[in-house]
Amino acid sequence: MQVELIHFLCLAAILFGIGLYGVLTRRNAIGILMCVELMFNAVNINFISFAKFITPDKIIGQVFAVFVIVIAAAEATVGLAIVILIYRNFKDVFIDKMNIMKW
Amino acid sequence: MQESVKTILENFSLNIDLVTLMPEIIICGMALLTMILEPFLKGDSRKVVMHLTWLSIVAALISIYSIWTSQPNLQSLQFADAYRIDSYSLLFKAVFLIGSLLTVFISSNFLKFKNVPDGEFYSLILFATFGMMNMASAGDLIVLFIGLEIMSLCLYVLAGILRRSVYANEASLKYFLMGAFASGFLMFGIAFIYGATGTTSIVDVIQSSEILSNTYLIIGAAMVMIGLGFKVGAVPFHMWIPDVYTGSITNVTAFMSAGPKAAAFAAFFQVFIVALRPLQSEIEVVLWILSALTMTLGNILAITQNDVKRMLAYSSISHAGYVLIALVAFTPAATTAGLYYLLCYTVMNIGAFTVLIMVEARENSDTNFSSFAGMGRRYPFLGILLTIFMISLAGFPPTAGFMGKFLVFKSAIDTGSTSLIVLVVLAVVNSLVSVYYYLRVVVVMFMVEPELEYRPINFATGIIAALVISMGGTLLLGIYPQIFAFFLNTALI
Amino acid sequence: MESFSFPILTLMIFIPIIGMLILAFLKQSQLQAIRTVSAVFSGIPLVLAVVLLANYDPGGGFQYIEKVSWIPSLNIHYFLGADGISMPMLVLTALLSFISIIASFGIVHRAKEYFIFFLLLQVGMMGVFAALDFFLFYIFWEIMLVPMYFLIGIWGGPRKIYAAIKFFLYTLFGSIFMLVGILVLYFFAVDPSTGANIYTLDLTILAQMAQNGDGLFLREGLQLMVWMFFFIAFAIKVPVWPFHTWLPDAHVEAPTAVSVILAGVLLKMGTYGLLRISFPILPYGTDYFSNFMAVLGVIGIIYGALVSMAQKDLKKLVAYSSVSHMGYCLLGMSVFSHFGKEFIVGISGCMFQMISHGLITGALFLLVGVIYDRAHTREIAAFGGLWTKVPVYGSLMTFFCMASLGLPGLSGFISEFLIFVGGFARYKILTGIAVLGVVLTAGYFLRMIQKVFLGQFNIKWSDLTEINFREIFTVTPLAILTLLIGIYPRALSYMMDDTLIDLSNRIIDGVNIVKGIIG
Repeated sequence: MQVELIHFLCLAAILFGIGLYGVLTRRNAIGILMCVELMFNAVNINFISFAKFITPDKIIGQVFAVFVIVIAAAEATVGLAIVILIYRNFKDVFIDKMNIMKW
Repeated sequence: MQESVKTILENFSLNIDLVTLMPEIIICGMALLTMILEPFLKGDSRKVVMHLTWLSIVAALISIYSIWTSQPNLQSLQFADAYRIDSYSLLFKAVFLIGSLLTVFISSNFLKFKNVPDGEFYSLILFATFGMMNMASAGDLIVLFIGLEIMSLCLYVLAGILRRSVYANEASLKYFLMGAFASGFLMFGIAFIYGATGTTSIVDVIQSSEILSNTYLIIGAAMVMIGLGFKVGAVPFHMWIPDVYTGSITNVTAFMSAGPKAAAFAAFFQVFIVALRPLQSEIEVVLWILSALTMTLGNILAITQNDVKRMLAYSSISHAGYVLIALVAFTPAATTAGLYYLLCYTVMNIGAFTVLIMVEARENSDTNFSSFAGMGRRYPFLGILLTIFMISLAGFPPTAGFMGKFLVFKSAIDTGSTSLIVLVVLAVVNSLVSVYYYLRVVVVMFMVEPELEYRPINFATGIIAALVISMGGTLLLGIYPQIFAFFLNTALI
Repeated sequence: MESFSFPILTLMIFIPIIGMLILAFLKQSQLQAIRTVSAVFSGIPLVLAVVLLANYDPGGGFQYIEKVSWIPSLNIHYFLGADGISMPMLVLTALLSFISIIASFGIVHRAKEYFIFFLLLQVGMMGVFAALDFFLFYIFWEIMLVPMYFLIGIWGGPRKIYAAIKFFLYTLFGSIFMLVGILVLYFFAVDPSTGANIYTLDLTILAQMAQNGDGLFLREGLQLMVWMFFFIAFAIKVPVWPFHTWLPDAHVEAPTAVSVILAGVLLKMGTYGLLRISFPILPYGTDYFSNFMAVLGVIGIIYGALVSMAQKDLKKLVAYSSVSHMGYCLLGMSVFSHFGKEFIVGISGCMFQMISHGLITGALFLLVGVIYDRAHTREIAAFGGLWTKVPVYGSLMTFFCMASLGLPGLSGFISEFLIFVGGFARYKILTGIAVLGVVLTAGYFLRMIQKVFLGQFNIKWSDLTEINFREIFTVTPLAILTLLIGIYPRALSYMMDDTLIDLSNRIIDGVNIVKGIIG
């Protein structure tokens, strides 16, 4: 069976769904961070596969994917910094503890 | 593949015009400079950073003004069509810069009061502003996305800049998680738009005659709408706003409610009105629902608040709903009206936050309604200023809030569509409801006796400058909008 | 049509602002200076109003016109002018504002802010009566709300905050309908000569279009809808039953001088708005709903009178009598044109009623304030036999009560007579019921006079002092004018007859055109 565009898209969608589910259900801040990364990577798969199948003569998709990787790294840096700060003050990284203000 | 990359590079014309890029260059350069400079400064000389910041913002505003006057009908595409500078993006940048300028003015003393190291604060503000400017000028979805991320990353840090406060920690984390989540959706959406049209250039998306797959385009539009909906705080994607606005230090809240919100709307306009014009009818329906929900829910929740800061947070949700009307109307005049509204909202809202900061920056004080009791008697002038900001937020003539709403409603009714008239009526009813909670501040200020002697308020120079600018803007935008005629006569391409 | 004559109307409207600025720099303790400044800057507009009145040309249409482009991109002008409908209202407003300022000299608590708000209120009121651009009208209309809100909310009685919010929200609810109506008018304004959209809110142009039957004025349904929007806005202000419930609260809680302004000027804005906007711009709607207006008017007359009879509080009694008296206005204006163009009895009665109610009820509120200041109660039952103790006060009170119930020779009689003559020609039964209102009015006023001034003297009040010179000074001009209009009504009617005839011509033309089209 030939691997078509739709297969890549399904893979990305599944990955995105797993990430989404994780963000919504996880209680651990680092877990949520990882799930967000999962969503970002699903986006990357999308971009690369669209670039391969839709615009084989252009490199926009690949370029975008590189940008997404960079931004994901930046997000992770800031995110982890915030989580460390949280750990210092709360001695914990479980977000259900962080509900001082009503949600 | 190798061959095609080579052709692309050969056809790649950067076409950079440094003069029109001056505002960005000033802001980005000064952001880097303040970051480098800050560790080397000690004691009182640290004030230099603050002065450099506001001076650079003023310089950027002046350069925008000079670009505007020297090239009135500027339409310039730079960096291989990825960066678009025209009257519309210049105006948006002016709005962001005014918001940042006011924020810098109100921050200096307040940061000292709250014991926040102020060095990185100013460079973060400048970087965030730079990000917003990129969003307004984006000619390509990549630039739009990168601008959004530059802005958001700075805001995540700014929200938590009060490091020892658990509230700020919580605000920062919630903002970060929600923001990253929204970015995920936004990128996923952009990927699908790219898949549907084979391009990420905003102008090309609309022109690509052979849309490869309508399904992809619709999935993409929906995802982008979720992502940007989070950023503007449209219901049902608003849950982060109250907590983040309440938990953050108040001057950052003021900043977040003005520039970043306007920037998110700039992105909204770019993507939905320019790029996704083919989907107009579908988008209109969704935006209609978003707009109606946003203004109504924001208003209803604002009524029940006991904290002025949190009340302003909910009210900012409902104001986003009013601006969304301009998007539903989908005409050039409506987007201009939306932009005018955002400018009005920036000045009046930061004005209200300025007074809030003055009240908060006293010993043992908070932002509850009770902190305002008796303020109108002890400081009648300040009381009247806050009253004007409040009636402006409520949309009362002859203030900016009224003129902004009038223009948005006018542009919506101008389309002649019944559903828009219904939306306008809903918005009008909502502004009536909003009068109740805005006036509550006024009632407490003037008509409730304080428990004890009202504790003195500190009038710092920066605060006074911010008050003068925001009050001047609120009145001028409301009474004599004609001097902003250039606003009323420009339109998004 | 830019006009650059001496901007006397602008001066008249905005001079109190200078007074506000001066007051801002005075200290709370300089009471005498605060009073003088506010009296002077409220007095200048009165002088100017009298000058305008002296130079007024009854047949000249709009006069003292000032028209400057204000927001050109929206075609909105700063457009002021006065005609036979607004001229008397301007004079009345200036007079009552000045009198109220004098009557407020007793205010000591936060006096500076009080007078600042009062002067701002005056600016808003004068602006409403002089504005000829709908946008400007709306802005003045709203500006006026804010000081009123503070005046009731800070210096009012025990339930002041409730009363202030209720007043504010009610009026705002109305203005919002007005705003939607304004936007609709704006988009349907059509240039009579070319037929192109001109987007204007110029009241004179809109009225001209209505007479010619252009644009919106052709669309029957739309016109009725917009008419209803405006009617809600104005009816809340009048207040027309069933929108009147804010009025007793606001009146009872407001300080005396604010009650005077509320009854004397603010209520008139509702009827003025109908005459200035709904009648000439939406003639078909006016015609269509005239029966509806008459019915609401008569309900107001009877309801207000009946509720007045049941009141135990002097101020509430006068407040509800306002509901009843404004009902006459509505009845009078609803019979605008039954006999043709030259017969303007009803509508002219309505104008008379607006002025005379402003004078009489203003004075009644002042007098109620006088006794409240001394006795600290307004309970009718608490008094008795006061005549022997305060004869001057008693005779003034009796004079205005008689004027209010329509004693011949005083202004109330003229207005009610005109309204009944006009009304009877069109609505025989309704007018018959309305005449009953006069009997009821006589009932509650006479009962009040009897209980307060006659009968057994209540020894509790043995050290009650007579009305003082300042208080007499405030009511005397009102008494003189009441008497003057009552004896020589031409003093008022010469100003407005031409304007009102022109107005009824416009309505008849407008109605005929629409009827001609829809068949």
